[in-house]
Amino acid sequence: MRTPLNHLVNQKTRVSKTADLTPPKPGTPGAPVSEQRVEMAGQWQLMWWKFRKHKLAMIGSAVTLLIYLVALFVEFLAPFPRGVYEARYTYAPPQALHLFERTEQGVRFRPFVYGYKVTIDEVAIRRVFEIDTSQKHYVGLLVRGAPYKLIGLFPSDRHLFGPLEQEAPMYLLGADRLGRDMLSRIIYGTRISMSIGLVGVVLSLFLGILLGGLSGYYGGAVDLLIQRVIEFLRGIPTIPLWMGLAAAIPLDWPPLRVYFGITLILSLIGWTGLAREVRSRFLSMRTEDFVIAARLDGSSEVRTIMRYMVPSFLSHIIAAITLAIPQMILSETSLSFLGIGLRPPVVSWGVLLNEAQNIRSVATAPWLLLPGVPIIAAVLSLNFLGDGLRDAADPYGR
Amino acid sequence: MNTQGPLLEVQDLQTHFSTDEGVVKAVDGVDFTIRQGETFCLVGESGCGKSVTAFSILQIVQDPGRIVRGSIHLRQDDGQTLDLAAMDPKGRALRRIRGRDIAMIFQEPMTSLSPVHTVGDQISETLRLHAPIDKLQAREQTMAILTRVGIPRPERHFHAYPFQLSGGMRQRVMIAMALICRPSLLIADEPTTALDVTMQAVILDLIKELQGEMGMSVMLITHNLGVVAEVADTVAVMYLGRIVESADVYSLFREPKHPYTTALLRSIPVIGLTKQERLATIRGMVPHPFNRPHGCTFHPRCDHFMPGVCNRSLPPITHLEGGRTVRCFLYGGADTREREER
Amino acid sequence: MSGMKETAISEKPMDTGQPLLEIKNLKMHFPIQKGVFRRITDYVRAVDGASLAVKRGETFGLVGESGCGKTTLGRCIMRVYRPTAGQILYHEDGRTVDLCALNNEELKPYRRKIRMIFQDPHGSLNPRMTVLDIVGDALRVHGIASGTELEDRVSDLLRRVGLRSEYLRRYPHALSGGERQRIGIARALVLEPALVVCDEPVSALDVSVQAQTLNLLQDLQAEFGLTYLFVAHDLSVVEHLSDRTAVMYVGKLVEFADTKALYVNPRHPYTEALLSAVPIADPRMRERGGRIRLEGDVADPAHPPTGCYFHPRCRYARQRCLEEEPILRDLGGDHGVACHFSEEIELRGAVMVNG
Ligand SMILES: Nc1ncnc2c1ncn2[C@@H]1O[C@H](COP(=O)(O)OP(=O)(O)OP(=O)(O)O)[C@@H](O)[C@H]1O
Ligand SMILES: Nc1ncnc2c1ncn2[C@@H]1O[C@H](COP(=O)(O)OP(=O)(O)OP(=O)(O)O)[C@@H](O)[C@H]1O
Ligand code: SF4
Ligand SMILES: [Mg+2]
Ligand SMILES: [Mg+2]
Repeated sequence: MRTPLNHLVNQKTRVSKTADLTPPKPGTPGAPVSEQRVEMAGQWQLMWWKFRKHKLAMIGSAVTLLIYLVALFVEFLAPFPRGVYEARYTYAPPQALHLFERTEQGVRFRPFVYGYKVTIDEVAIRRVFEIDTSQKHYVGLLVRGAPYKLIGLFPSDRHLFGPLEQEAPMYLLGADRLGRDMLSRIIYGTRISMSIGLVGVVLSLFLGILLGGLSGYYGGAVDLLIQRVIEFLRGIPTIPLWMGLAAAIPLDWPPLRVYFGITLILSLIGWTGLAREVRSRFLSMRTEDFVIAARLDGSSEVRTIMRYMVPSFLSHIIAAITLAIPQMILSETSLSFLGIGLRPPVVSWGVLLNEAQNIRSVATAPWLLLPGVPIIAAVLSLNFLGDGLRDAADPYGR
Repeated sequence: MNTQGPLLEVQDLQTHFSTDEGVVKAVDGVDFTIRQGETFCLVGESGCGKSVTAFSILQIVQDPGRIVRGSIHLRQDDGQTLDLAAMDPKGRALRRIRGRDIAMIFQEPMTSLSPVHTVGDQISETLRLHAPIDKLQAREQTMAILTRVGIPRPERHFHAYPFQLSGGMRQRVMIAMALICRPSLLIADEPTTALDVTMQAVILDLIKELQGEMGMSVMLITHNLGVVAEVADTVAVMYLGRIVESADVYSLFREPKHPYTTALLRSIPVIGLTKQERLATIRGMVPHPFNRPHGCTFHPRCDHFMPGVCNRSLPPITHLEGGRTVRCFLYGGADTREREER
Repeated sequence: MSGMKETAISEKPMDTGQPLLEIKNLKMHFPIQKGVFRRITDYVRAVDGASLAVKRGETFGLVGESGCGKTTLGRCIMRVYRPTAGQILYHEDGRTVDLCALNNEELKPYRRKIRMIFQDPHGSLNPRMTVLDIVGDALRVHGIASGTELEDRVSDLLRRVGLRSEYLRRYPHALSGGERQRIGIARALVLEPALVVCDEPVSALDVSVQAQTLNLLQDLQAEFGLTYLFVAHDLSVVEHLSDRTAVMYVGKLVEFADTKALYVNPRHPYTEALLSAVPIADPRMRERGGRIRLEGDVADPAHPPTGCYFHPRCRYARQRCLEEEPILRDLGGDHGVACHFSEEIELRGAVMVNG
């Protein structure tokens, strides 16, 4: 006996095998409650125990959760709506947020930013910003600002933070070509970028499970056909294929339709990986002893699949999906960056990076590259999360 | 049987695995001696620590595992003895002993043969690691040993990859590789468990023959008492990391002393003997390694359990006539009660 | 061998008792597919014309080396596979059904009568289900019991296989091999079958747990009047348990007889070799000598030799063995053998340890 599952169990929940064949009754001395816990633990419980040992995955899931929360509450979190521009503050550099104010009375907590002094550089024909310590714009929590509907439902005009006077310039991460607040735009971009991953994965999941399942279930000619289609699709280099498909999206489509068009394109390629995963799990699962046992119990084909096979590979599919989301996010970013994906006024991280494309802006306004940071954070944390899930997907390691 | 001086003396060997969940005392105080030319069998149920004992001798215990105590004295050809337990596991000295003085055949042949090298290359590499000879000589000797272990058409199989061979052939290759340097001790960890009875018989015969030719000692690890009875000179029975009884094979099977050995021998079906009767069983099952019973670890399953004695302290090793040893209070040692379990 | 009566065994009515299960010339060939279009290039003849009859109430042992088709034969009986050819006749109350001819729906009632115990105690229990669901699912599927009745029946059965009813809510992952195998046994018995196909039920278990499990199987047989088809590669286990024993070699039955007769007086050279290879747990028997060493490997079921499949390894082989395939014929006294020269050659039985 190679001490099954001990890796899952910490000191407190250790399996203790008593020498007797039958374990002591719960409640009798020598039978700690924890002992029962392991033996009564179901799949998800065991997965959780194994998952939480994976430190990076735990961090990854926290960050992922945070990012999706941001995506959900963008209007509240962003100090300004995404379209607000201010020509005066074109390419304004980031300001520092000062939390404490030093006055004659002493130091007290009162966040503020200094204003800008704007001069025009006649030679370079651009604005030169200097921090003007004589102007202070106070920043408050839950300030009133532009009205919005939270999650499209609850009307409000409160923002998590913002300048107390609505017109005051506050560019914590700088401003772009039109003097729009980068911070607000990055926050708005979160929603599009993160959701495109999710929606795209759902679409490819649907295709993947359907076609992979058919392939694995029927085998024979159906399998042969689907496998060849998958191989064909995988054989095409992705970037030209995307470009071709994206170019087919009419320019006059409204943003929402473009959004779905792009998602569809991404998932058309994304499903192949999932389909393969589903098919191979399906095929290997069919010959597992416990699935054969279910058939011998008299279980019908559909019941065997739903009750025995699906629960066994569900966790693997979830892990595969989690690992597919960052792929989607990156694909969207690359498409938009190349200018063939989403287009302004839609704000996604890729669209934002697209605006940072020229050398000049990189040199003069490097903060335009900041949308790269959340992309890296999102992709990394989703990957760590997926790795952890994949490792925990089969908690019954032998 | 060859009753020359001791080749390997293991004293109070303890190998523990410290995992996140606690310490697994896989080997917990093991003493035994292997004499020159003899076949020493270590027998016990799955998980009792047989493999870890063998790995400890070569200091190739897997990672969380450490030898925490004890000595392993190996007598070399020049009459000197070395304590393997005190040597650096990664040092040159120990590496020279592995393969040259002590060779090992592993439980799972496929995991110990490299899948990307031909068997011929692997064997001649092993040889050249330990002997100052050139490629051609190595090849010749490899061919000779392949022929000796019964590989048909060795010149062809020299270039075969392990996966191209059947289970029995692979085990022969393993034996060839282990014996190419003519070690003084061959450790065979369940060499026949994965094989059929017919192949098992052939491989055991082969080991026996080669042992006679080369005069080496063999430490055979198995859980099959039939195999023990067929090949052993001396037997040690292991239970939960300790040797509970050791004796020469004839005495052990004629008159087992330890209650565990007795029960084990009674619980196996023997052809022509037990027809249609119920088998004797050992009640319960092997306890979990984290949760060893106090005192004699066998006491919860023992038919001769003496309350207040067996569950109090660890029975000491008692020496009986004929060089036998047993760890059981039935044979004395009950008064040394202050000896606490380590 | 011209004057010999060569009756194929399956045509001969059994001398005692009505067989419960009869297998006639069963073949199971698995296709080997190659290439992009998965063309069938060859077949693995896993079971290649096996015939046997299992009597009601007996334990019929089936031994053979790894890969000889024991599991496949057992699974054909369970109709996990659809056999390539042959018949599997199940006799019940004077009626006879050929299980090979039934489709999935028609098989359902027979899935209650014939059950199986798997070899691997780890892979055969769904780790994601509780013991209650694993054992009780069959009752649910067949609409026999549900709710508390199901629970009662399962916990009752668990008690009979030596597990306490607390196990109902447990998952198999934290149980030992022996406990899992008991659950596998409970699952096989929950539908009150007549025949249980035991596919190496103790091979994966430790020595001491193996004895417990074998005893349990014997007790349950007496209690429920079960018939066992007991598949194993350990000859001493089969000898201990079986009333009659058959020996398989590369997809075919080469010999069958009353267990005692087979072990004491084998009539097929392969049986002799197999018996002589069994290690005997008594060092005094060591010097008995004359152990037969089988040269070479078991034949490849995809490319079996001509004639008698055993001839390349047989020490009694003659020209006829290369050319003509021996059929399984009765030597009288319910002793069947598939060897041309059974009457001529003198074979040694197993060494019996006395005392
Ligand atoms: N790498 C490891 N980490 C933790 N525990 C281990 C490790 N290797 C072995 N063990 C533990 O050490 C004990 C002895 O293991 P060992 O492999 O020596 O058993 P064995 O007697 O060889 O059994 P088998 O007959 O199954 O080969 C077992 O309880 C096992 O769980
Ligand atoms: N589903 C399958 N597809 C193709 N070949 C198979 C299949 N199942 C079994 N075989 C082959 O059929 C032969 C017989 O296998 P089987 O599992 O019946 O042997 P066995 O006697 O049970 O062996 P063991 O003692 O190892 O369990 C083997 O060569 C095996 O590779
Ligand atoms: S010491 Fe006691 S418990 Fe242990 S084997 Fe001997 S009699 Fe049994
Ligand atoms: Mg081992
Ligand atoms: Mg099998």
